[in-house]
Amino acid sequence: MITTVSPEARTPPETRRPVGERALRVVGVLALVGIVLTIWLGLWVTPPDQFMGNWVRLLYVHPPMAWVAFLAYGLAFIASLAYLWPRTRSAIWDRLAGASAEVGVVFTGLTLVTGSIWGRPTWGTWWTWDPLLTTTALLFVLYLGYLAIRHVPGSDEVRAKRNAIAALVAFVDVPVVYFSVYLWQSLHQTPSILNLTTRKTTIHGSMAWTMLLGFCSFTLAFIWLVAQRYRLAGLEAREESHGLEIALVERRLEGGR
Amino acid sequence: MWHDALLVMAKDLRVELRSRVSLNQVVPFALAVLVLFGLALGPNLHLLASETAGLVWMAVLFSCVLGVQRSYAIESTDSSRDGLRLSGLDPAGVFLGKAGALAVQLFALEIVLALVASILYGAPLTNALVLLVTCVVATIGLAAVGTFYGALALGARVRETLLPLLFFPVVAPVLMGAMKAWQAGLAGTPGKADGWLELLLAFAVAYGAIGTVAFGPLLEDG
Amino acid sequence: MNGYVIGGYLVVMISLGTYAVFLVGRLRAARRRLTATLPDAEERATDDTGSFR
Repeated sequence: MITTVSPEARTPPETRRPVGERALRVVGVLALVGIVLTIWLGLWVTPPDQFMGNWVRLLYVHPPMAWVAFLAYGLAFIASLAYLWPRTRSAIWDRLAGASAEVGVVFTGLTLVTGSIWGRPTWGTWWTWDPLLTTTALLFVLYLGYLAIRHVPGSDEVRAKRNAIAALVAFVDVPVVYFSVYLWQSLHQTPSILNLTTRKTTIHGSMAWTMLLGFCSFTLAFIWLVAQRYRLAGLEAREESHGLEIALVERRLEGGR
Repeated sequence: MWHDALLVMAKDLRVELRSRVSLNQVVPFALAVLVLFGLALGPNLHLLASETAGLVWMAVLFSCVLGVQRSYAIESTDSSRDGLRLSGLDPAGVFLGKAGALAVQLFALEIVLALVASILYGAPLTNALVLLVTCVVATIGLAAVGTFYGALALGARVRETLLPLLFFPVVAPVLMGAMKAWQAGLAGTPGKADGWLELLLAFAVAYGAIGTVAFGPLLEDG
Repeated sequence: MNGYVIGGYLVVMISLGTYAVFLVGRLRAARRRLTATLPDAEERATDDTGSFR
């Protein structure tokens, strides 16, 4: 409803910054600092590995990418549950799930790229049908599908419910896919990314700290990105509703003539 | 619920018997896929024979997508959700009925594909029982997932492209399981298929349950 | 130093950076459009209710 607000009630935007805005800035800055630090440590300060040489430096990037992707889908799952639960039903959860999934897809793509590069030196190919990597590839497509579902037309409630159900089913499918791929390739002894780290390399000292920093920094980046994406979704929803209101008012005015 | 399921299943199958769309279009499509696979892999008879299982099941997956599209196309001219809801039938029953009808048609298709593939790819159908059981279990899973995502994509103007995108990643385990089970059967080591058959069965039960439970909420108005 | 490793790092940074810039850009544009049509839109936009509208 378009209401007129008295001048006294209208306060200038700068003084109305909610606490969340400032906290978000802090998160963003911390994330950026952490990532830059991770890169510096990862590429220059930490020593090359005994067996893997400089290739070990991907250890500071690839696992964090995978972790964040997992985090993103987990958040989308929980948000979808929250939406479907009648007591907590709210558009907030639908927007959060969508934002989280979108960021998750970005990080999943990065997981695939970094994972592919990491496997290159040992196996000589850009892709090994490693169960983790293959599952990630399927996950990528799975959640691209989820993002596509979010665009299917319908009323808001119908779409939100549909999105939530889709997210739940997608998440449940993840362990099924991983288990199947693991079984499928275990008979052929294809290389595993995990083997690269656990069997041949001992991670200690500066390497361990850098990896931890990587995990924390990219997690902060994830939080920042999801928050921004979530707000964008909120603004776009308002824009849609305002556009609708304006159109209605115009129609009514037209009808009055 | 079961009564409604049988009603819907009978209705869908009757429609197919009369219109014969699956027979006239989906089966030839699947056969074309088999032939094109042969073209794609060069006349490498050894390769085709050893990979028959994978090729047949890929053809089945492609056909399943078409089958799902068809399954929802017969509901009304624009496949609106209303048609399914207003029928007054129990939605869980509608799901089971549609999935069941789709499964029956897919199963028939698989038998045809098996026979044709054994000729095209030169792979004798040894341990036919294992092959048949695989077909039954895998098909239930495929039909359940397909019917579920078909409902999810209802109302999408881009349903034709959306459905395959949704369907394929989810049924990857079925592809792997069915392919491995068939490979075990065709290679003369049927014992190795057991684990895969269990996986397929678990998948079928899980997605059958998911579809049954989620179908109603999916079709609801809000 | 390994070119591929650096390439990997670069891909990550460029992708995330581009995404972040893209998000912020669209946020600013959306805010501008909202405050243009309705003066109190900014306040309502940050007042996040649980309804769809």
